[in-house]
Amino acid sequence: MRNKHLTPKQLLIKTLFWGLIIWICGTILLPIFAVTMYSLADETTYPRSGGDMVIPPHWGQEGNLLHHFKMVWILEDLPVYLARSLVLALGTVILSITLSAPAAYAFVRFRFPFRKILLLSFFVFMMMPDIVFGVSLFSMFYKWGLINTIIGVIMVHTLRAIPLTLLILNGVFESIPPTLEEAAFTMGTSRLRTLRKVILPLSAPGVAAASIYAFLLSWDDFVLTVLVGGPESYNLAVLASRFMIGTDVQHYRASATAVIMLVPVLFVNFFVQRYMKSDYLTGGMARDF
Amino acid sequence: MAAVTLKNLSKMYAKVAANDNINMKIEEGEFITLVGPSGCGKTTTLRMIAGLLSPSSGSIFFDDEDVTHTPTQNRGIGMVFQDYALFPHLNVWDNIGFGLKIQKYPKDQVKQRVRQGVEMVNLIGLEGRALSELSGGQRQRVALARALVMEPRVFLLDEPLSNLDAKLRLHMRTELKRIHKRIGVTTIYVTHDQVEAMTLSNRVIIMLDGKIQQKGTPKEVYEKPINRFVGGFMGSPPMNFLENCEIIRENDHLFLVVKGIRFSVPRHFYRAIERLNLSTVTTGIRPEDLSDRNDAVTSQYKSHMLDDTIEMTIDVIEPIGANKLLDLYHKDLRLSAIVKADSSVLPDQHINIKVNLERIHLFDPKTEESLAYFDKL
Ligand SMILES: Nc1ncnc2c1ncn2[C@@H]1O[C@H](COP(=O)(O)OP(=O)(O)OP(=O)(O)O)[C@@H](O)[C@H]1O
Ligand SMILES: [Mg+2]
Repeated sequence: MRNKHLTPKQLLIKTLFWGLIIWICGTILLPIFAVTMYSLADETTYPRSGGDMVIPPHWGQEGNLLHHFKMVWILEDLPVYLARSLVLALGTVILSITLSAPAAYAFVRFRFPFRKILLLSFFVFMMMPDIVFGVSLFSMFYKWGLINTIIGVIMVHTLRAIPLTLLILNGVFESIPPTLEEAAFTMGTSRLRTLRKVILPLSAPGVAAASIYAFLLSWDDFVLTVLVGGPESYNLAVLASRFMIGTDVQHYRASATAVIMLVPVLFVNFFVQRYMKSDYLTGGMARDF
Repeated sequence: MAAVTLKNLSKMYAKVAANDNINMKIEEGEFITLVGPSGCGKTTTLRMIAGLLSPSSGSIFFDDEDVTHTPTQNRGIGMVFQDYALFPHLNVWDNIGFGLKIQKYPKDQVKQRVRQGVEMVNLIGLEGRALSELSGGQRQRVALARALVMEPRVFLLDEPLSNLDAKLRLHMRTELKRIHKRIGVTTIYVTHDQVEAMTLSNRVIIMLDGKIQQKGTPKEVYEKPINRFVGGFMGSPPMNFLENCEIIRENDHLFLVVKGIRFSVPRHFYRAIERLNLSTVTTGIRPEDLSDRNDAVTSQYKSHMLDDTIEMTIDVIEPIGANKLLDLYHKDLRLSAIVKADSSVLPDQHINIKVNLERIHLFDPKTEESLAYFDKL
């Protein structure tokens, strides 16, 4: 057997390699594969009262491979939910970045009392369960007429996203040495132009990472959207979950919705991978120059 | 270009005064060095001149214009930072042209001035490179060019060579001198390296604990240090200090006695010693003012009235170029001396050392002030 000739080191590397393959398949490819398969299969493939999936399934239904997509698209107003999900997610990105970027910048560049404690409080806030957070906001939102509005949902998503976007951006600004700004000042650059010409380009990868986080948080949120939202402000995640709640579980429609939800995620992934290659994202910048 | 004047400039932090009542005038076109040990407040002074730090009290003038409260952007300074502070997202050309572009200079003028800058610091051919593709010395030059193309009124440098290796530092020192000779901009150079200070500038300002100790030409501060700190800080290998030298009077002559060795006090110190009624002093002798008696034949006849010879034992010999550095001892007294490389000295040998009495320094043991400045006090 060839295995006999493997040194312990080679064996370790081989084990790690296959471990990695299994890990990637289990965490990334398998879920994608599962929802895609269900979304393209005949309803009868999956027995309602337990039992195993038939693999390969009977593809398509009523002679149409995309039958479930057609059903959610026509019967369930999917385009409306899709548009709403996009509005909510982009709104969350814009609001959370515009609020947390200046705050993070101030945290890094200016010393003020209770700075550390304030930063710590965001960590604590991050650990608060969605349910506690959403329920506690309900009466206040009700009073202000924010229940079942797009704005209201954007606001809770933003509140939820801000602790982490703030921490990400805090790290980003911390890695930019203050002497870069001072150097710009000595060359006659105003504070505002320095932000635009020096800080912005250098923090762009970090801002992108924070934006992606905020986008996905909103895109994927079910609990908060249900708690403060309503039929007028539900997103795709709520739609997909609705198919799974109650006695009439519509597994195939949920899968079709999930596949649609995957599209921007995969797109973002692809985009990020190309972007992250820029060499000043390595974090070694401050030490290199 | 501008002359820079600092009047009673102070900077207080919570407990310490980083700068304590700094007064100086730097003439137009002068190259001065601010030198002192770490933490003495050099960077603080420089940053206040740049406007990156506001003083607690005092004022700063560029020529006759009070710029104490002028923002950095309007001061017309150029600055080179210790960490270079180059813009990592821009290449060499765009780093150098950054300020000119921001100031909306016409395109052809930007091009011409950046080209001049590139030529001045010898970066020709590297204009398109990313910073990560440059060596430390090349980055240093980009930083120099970036500040100089703005044609600043005052050029400030904060330990610009401290990140370079010894050889490159020497090379860049020459470059800096050459550039200054060519453009003649008023330059304030901060360093903790006294050799840099001595070799680079027209004038040196020595600081300690936020206070100016002495200002003067490199020659002045080297030959006539105002106090013990300056004497010990400037010069390498450093000055020998003999603590607790007893003063002995013998028929109108004064002698110093320490640990069994004895030598004459030069005449010009007599008045100070008598007036201050000192019984002991601290003596400072530079290693080059101690020599092998046998090498110094010519002056023998001159010193018959003077007691200028001490007997020591050689511990270690270190060749340094054209000279040898001798590590000498007598009981627990240790001295270093510089002799010519062709001196036939051997370890553990006894040697008669001649003290160049005219060049010794005496300091008041309490105040540590030099007695040479007594008349001026
Ligand atoms: N932000 C600050 N808060 C409190 N003390 C400070 C601050 N900045 C500097 N100091 C103190 O002021 C003194 C002078 O600092 P400065 O940076 O000017 O020294 P330096 O001469 O440039 O030293 P080095 O050669 O190490 O750069 C130091 O004792 C330092 O600890
Ligand atoms: Mg400093």
